[in-house]
Amino acid sequence: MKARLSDDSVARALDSKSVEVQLRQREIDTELVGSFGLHWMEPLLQVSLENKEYTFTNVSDSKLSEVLQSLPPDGDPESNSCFIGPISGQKYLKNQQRLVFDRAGNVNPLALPRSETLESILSSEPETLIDEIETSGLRGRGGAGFPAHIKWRTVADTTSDQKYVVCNADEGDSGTFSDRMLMEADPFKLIEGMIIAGYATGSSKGIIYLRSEYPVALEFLSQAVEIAYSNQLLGPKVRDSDFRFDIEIFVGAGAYICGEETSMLESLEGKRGQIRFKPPVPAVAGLFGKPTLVHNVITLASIPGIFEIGAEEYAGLGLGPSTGTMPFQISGNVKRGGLIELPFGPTVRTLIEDFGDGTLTGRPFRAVQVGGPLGAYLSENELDTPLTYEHMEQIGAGIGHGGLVVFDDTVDLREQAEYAFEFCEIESCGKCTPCRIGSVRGKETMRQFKDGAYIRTYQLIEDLCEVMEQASLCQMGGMTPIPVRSAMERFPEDFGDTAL
Amino acid sequence: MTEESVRTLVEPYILATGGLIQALRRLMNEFGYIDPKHIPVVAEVFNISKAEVRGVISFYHDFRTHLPARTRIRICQAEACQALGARKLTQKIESRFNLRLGNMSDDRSIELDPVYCLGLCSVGPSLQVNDRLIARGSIDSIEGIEK
Repeated sequence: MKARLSDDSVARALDSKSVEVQLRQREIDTELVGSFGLHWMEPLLQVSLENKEYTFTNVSDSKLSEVLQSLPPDGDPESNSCFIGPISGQKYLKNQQRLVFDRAGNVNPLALPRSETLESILSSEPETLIDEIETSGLRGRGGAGFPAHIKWRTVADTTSDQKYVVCNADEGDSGTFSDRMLMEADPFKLIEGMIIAGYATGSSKGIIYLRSEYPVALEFLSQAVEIAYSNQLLGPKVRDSDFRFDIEIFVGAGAYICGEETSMLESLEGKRGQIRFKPPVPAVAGLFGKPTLVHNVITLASIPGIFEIGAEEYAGLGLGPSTGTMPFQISGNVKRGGLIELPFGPTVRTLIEDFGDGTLTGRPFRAVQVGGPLGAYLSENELDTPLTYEHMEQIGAGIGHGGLVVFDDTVDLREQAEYAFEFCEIESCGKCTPCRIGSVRGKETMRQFKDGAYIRTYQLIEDLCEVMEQASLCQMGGMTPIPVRSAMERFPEDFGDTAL
Repeated sequence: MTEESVRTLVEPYILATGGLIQALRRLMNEFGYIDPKHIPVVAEVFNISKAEVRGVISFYHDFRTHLPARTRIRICQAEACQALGARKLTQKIESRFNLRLGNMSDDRSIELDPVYCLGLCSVGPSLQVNDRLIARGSIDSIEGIEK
């Protein structure tokens, strides 16, 4: 008998470690694996016994005895309430198309994968790799959706004695956890992606900027980097080639704004994470003034998949200029929260209803916030919008980092709009006035709706949003009006009858 | 803690990536907080002004200049957890300990702090008690923790 138990932040937060202790005490051969991202099932236990797989969900130390007793030859697994059929047969997983998360859940995150693709990449011309990325149509997955090949080419074409690849793992948006999941379930995918990006752009040093709120990711990532070094995946001769690549993990110190690329670079230089003016863009003058390729975790982790299936096939996935797959994340008030990787283009409704299976509380759906704290609140009327960069833009929203947070009918959108300003107040770097002062004024003014001064308050908020949107230096202040306005426009009843 | 031993702790980071931040974290890990008395030493080691060191300390949420409590409870205040009742849970925890979020009890036994996303959004509301992550948090999750 062999047991495979999920082990990541979610599983541990649902007490998987006490299940592990029990399994080991019973001397059952146990392997820890990453999470598939079917989070309502965690902790997930898969048992192989005489060539058969039995999967049990929501296992706890108190339920483990019954689970083990239900196994053949003496028991009947199907009689156990934790039993489900094989995990691969689960609709939630079967209906996905996984390129970034293909290994997640299936493997021990710290088992070094053998990638032949990487070896052939390291023997090809860097320029052709950039062409491939251009063909694939890959765009930044962190929120801005900027075409990756433009950054690559800029870094490659800028002459310098040192260039950097900086991985943005400062995943601060509420409702997003794909970066964390990848680093905990398949850290080598990210390492491979960084090596390819480094080779193509002529950068020898990679730095992963990891937020301090992710201690479990740090644990997995540090071990993976160490294993990579001892197996010549990193170091002076990557996979016996002449290419040198090093990776260093840098842990942030708690600042949402450090997810903004220039602010992250300041932080990596040991300073306050205040944003920089652009230009120059980081691809020309980034970390320590050197050309720096900054990408989010999922962008970098998408790269190995592009070379595995081929850039043209990758470009064929998705809808229009939104090519490839995107790991969407569904959370908040939803029955089946988790990670859903699909080619761009599923509707918001597909994710909430088909995958999410409705609200956890069982109450009617009311709103969904797409793309983190700076994303728009959508109502029932917009649920049939396909999730692509273009379609979301048309309705004044954005895909952000691919997170969808579901709310039931108890939500007060005025309160959410006030929170949008409050979050901006807490996390603003303070460099520009519209963001630093505007957020505070916005929060205070939002409270006046409570006092019944509708028309005047509405006008004040509208003016303030315009100033923040037009005059802020970065997207923190510039996009805070998005959740605010979307809430006011789509849910005017929460702001008082005459709000509109 | 002598000035010399503080110097020994932070010196290895002079040339490191984001060295000052790494040095400050080292002090946090060693003492649980950054003693304001140590700031001049750090400034001297990094050859920057005390104001610059203070500026970095005040910018980042992780850096604190007061002694930590025995038990620190962090309650996620972000949207995904709000959607599952984080606001009510926060109120319940506040009244259980008779302590407002962002404060510490006088005897330094309990500290309640906000946190903005622990990445457990699909199984909220989320809590963190010292190093332990808790998903599907409720008032029962903190049973046994006494002031």
